[in-house]
Amino acid sequence: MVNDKTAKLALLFVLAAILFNYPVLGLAGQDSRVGGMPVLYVYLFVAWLLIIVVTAWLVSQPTARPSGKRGQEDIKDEN
Amino acid sequence: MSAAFVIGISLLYLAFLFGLAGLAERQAKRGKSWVNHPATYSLSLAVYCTAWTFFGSVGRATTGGVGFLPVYLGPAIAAPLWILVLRKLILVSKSLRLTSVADLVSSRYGKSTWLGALATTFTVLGIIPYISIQLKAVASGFHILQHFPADEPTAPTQPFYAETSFYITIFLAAFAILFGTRHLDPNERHEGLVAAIAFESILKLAAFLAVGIFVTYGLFDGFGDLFTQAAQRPDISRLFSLEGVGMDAWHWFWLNLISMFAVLLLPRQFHMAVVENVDPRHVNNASWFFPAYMLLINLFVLPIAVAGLLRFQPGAVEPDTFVMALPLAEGYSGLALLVAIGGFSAATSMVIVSTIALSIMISNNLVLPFLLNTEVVSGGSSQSITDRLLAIRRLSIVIVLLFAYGYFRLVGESYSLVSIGLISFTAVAQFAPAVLAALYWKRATKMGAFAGLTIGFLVWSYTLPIPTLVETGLISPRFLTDGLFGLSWLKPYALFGMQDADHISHSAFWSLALNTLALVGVSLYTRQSPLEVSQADFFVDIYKYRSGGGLEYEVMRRQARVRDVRLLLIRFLGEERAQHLLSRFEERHRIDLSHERTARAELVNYAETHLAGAIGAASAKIIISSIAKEEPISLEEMFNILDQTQEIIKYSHALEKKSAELEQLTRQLRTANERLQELDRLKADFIATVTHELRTPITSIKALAKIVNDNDDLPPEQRSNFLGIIVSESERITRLINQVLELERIQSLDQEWEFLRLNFCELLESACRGVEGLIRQNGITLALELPEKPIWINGNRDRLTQVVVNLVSNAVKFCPPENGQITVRLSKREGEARLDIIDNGPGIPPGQEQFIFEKFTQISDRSRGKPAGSGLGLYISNLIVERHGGRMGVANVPGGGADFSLFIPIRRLLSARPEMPLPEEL
Repeated sequence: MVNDKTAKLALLFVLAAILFNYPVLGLAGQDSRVGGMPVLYVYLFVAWLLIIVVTAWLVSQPTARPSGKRGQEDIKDEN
Repeated sequence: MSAAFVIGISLLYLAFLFGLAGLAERQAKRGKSWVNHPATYSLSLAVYCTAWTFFGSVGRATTGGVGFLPVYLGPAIAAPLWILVLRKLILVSKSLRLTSVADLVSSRYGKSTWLGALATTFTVLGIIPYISIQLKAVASGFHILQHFPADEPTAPTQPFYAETSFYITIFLAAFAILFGTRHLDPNERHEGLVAAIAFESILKLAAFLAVGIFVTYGLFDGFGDLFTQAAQRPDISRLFSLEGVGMDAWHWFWLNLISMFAVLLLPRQFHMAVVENVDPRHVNNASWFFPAYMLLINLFVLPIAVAGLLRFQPGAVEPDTFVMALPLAEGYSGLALLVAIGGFSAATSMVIVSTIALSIMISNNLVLPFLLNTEVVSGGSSQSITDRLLAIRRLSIVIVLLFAYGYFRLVGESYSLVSIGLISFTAVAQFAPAVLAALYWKRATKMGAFAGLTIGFLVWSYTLPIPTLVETGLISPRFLTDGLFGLSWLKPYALFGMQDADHISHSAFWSLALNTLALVGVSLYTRQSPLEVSQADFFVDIYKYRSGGGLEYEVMRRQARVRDVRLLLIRFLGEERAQHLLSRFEERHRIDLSHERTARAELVNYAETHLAGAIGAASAKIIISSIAKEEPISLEEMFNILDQTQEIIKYSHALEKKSAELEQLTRQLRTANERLQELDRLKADFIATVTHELRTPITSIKALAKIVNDNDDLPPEQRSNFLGIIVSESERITRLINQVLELERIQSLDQEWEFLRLNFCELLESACRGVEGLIRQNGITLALELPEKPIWINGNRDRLTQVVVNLVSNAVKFCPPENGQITVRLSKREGEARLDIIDNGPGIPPGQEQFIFEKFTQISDRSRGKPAGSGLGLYISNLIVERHGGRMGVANVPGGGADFSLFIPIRRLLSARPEMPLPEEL
C-alpha cells in the first residue's frame, strides 16, 4: 500500500509537524508585526494554508499502482 | 429579545432539522443519495467543531492568544496521513462491520467481552462531561440573547422545568432516537443524520465567518487596524506571542498530539469518519477539505477575542460569549441571532452524534453481552427481538443525555468550555496506543491492551477529573496540596514530583506514557489465543485479505447446521434481511444452501460478521458459539493456517499474472491473424487486377485476329496495322507476365540476394549506356551529373541497374516528344547516396504522390490517354530500394517535370565482399 504518493503525504506530515512545533514555531513567536498583524498569527495561518494546498495537490495526483487493481478497496454495499 | 421569541426560533430550527433529515431519507429511498459525496463526508467530519470551537475558542484566546489553535493544528498535521491510517481503519471496520472504538478494540483483541465493556465505560465517563458543556453553551447562549447587557454574566439557577436547555435536551434526544436508531446495524448509513450534520456544519461556519467579518471589517478597519489598536494595550499585545501567554513547547506539543488522536477516536468522530463512511476514497478529499474548514472557522477567533477585550471593560462580559456580545452591543440583534443559531447548531450536532455513538457502544458492548442468555434477548419473536435491541439503544440515548444534563446542573457551571473539553480529549487519547497497535503490531495481546487501557484511564482520572471534584467540595483540598494519603509524590497535579507542566500536558504525558509502556510490556510477556492471532493478522494485513478476494476469512474451523444459522440470522436481523444476506452468500459462493445440511466455516464467519454489525463483535461471538461446533486449534496450527493463507494469496496473484500474460498472447495472435487475413485479401486483389490487365490486351488481340481472319479482302495497310497492334499487345502481355514473375521473386524472402560493395557512379554509367538507344530513339537529351569521387554502397548490382533503367524509361515515357530532357544526378549526403532522375514532363498530378509507388498505379490524364506500362514498375523499384535499406521519394520540379529520388544508405556491411579492391580512402 505504501506507494510514492503515500510516501509523499507522509513526508508532508513530518514537514507539518516540524513547522507547527518548537523550535521552528519559536522563531515565529517573537513579538513583531507584518502589516500590523502579529507575525505568529500570520505564520500559523499561512503555513497551514500551504499544507492544505499541497495535500490537495498530492491527493489529486493519479496513483501509479503497477500490480493492484483499481477499485479493490471499494466496500461492497452489504445491504 | 423575549424568551418566547428565542425559544420559538430555536424550536423552529430544530423542526427544520427534522424536516431536512426526513427529506434526505426519502431522497435516499428514491436512489438520490445526498450523502454519497466526498464533500458531505468532509462536512460531516466537521462535527469536530463544537460549541467549544464556536464560543470557547474566543474565550480561550482572551487569555491564551493562539493557544486555542493546537486543538485544530493537531488534526491538520495528521490529515496528510489519513490516506494511510484512516483508510485502513475504515477498511478493517467495514470488513468486520465494527460499530465503535470499543467494538474495534474488543474485536481485535480476541473479541473480548470484558475489553469492550471496559472501553465503553471509560469512553462514557470521559465523554459525558463533554456533552454537558455543550448543553451549558446552549443555555448561556440563550441567556445572553435574552438578557444582554446584564449584571450577572451567567444564568441564575432555576428549577430544571423552567430552563430552556432542559427542553432542548429532550428535543435532541428525540432527534437522535428518530434518525440515529433507524437500523440495528449502524453500518447501514443514516442518510438523514449525515445530511443534518453536514448542514449544521455549513451553518456554523457561515455564522462564525459572518460575525468575524462584521467585527474585523465593521467594527474595525480590517486586521491591520484591529491588531494595531490592540498593540497599544500591553495587556492585549502580550497575547501575540507564545511567551506572553505562558505557552511552552511541552504544553503545545501535547495539545497537538491528543487532538491528533481525538479527531479520529472521539466517539462522534469515529462514528462519522468510519461507521457512516460510504466510500473509503472520500478520505482523499477529506484530508484537505476538513483542514481547510478548520482553518476558516478559526481565522477570526483571535480578532474577535481582541476586539472583545478592546470594547468591553474587563470582567463585564464572559469572554466565552464575545461572539454574541459584540454584535449585541452594537445593536445588531439579527446577526447575534444568526450567531446564536450557529452556536446552537455546533452544540446540537455534537450532542446528537455523540449520544448515538455512545448508545451503540453501551448497548452492543456493555449491555448485550451480559443479557444474551437471559429472557430479555433470547425470548419472543424475531420482530420483538429487533425492537428490544433498538429499545435498549434508545434508552441508552436518553440515559446519556440525562446524565449529561445532570452533570451540567451539578458541576458544569464552574468550568470553562475548553478545560472540560480537553479533559475529554485526554481520555479519548488513551485509546490511541491500543488502536494503533491493533492496526500495525500483530504481537499486541489482549492482556497488553487491557493493562494499557486500565493504567491509562486510572492515571487520567487521578490527574484530571478527580481533582476537579475538590472545587465541588466532595474531596478535601489537602488532596491537591499534600497528595493522596499525604504522599507528596502522589499529588494529582504533580505526579512523581513533576512540577512545572500544566494540568493537561502533565496528565497526557503520564497517562499515555504509562499506557503505552504497559501495552507493549505486557504484550511481550503474554501469549495470544488462536483467535487473537487470526484477528491480529486480519487487522494488520487487511490489504492482503481484501486483494485475496474473500472478505470472509475462514481461519477458525467452525461448523454449524445451516438451519441454525438461518434461524439465528432471522432471529436477530429479521426475516427479510436474513433472507437477503443468505441469498447474497449463495450468489457469491455459487452454492444452494437448501441442499446443504452443514454450514461451512465461511458461512459461519459471514453470519458472525453481520451479527457483529448489529450487536457487536463480542456478543456475536457468544451467539455463534452457541450453535457452532469449534474444533480446538493450537497456536501452532493457527500460524500454519495463516502461512497457508499467505501462500494461497501468493498463488492467486501468480494466477492473475499468468492470465494477464495469456490475455496478451491472445491479443498478439489476434493481430497476427488479422494481418494474415489482410495479406490474403491483398493477394486476391492482386490476382484480380493481374487477370484484368491480361484480359484487356487478349481481348483486343482476339478481336483484331478475328477481323483479319474473317476478312480476306482487308486492305493491306489496315491488315498490317492490325497485325502491328497484335504484336505490340502480345509484347505488353509478355512484359506484364515477366514483371509479375519478377515481383514474386523479389517478394519471396527466402531467396537471399547477393550484396556486394559496388561503385554507384560506375553502375549508373553502365545503366545509362543500356538505355541510350531508347533515349536517342525518342530524341531526348540525357545529362549525367556524377560526383568527382566515387560513391561506394552495398547492393545488388542487377537489381539496382533494373531500378535505374526502370526510372529512366519511366522518365522517357513522360518527356515531351520535341525537347525532352532527363537529368540523372548522384550526390552524397550524410550517410546516404542520393540519386535524382529528373524529367521535364508534366509532373505528378497533386495528391497522387502517395499512391505512385503502389501496385498498378498508372498516372494518366485524359489528354494523353493511357500510358504504356504495367503499373508495376515503380512498385518493384520501391521494393528493391527498400531491400537495400533505402527509400524512394517523388516531387515536382518547379517549372514542370517530376523528380524521382532514391536514397541508399552508405554503410559497411560485414557480409559485404568487395567487388573490387577497396580504395585507399575507405
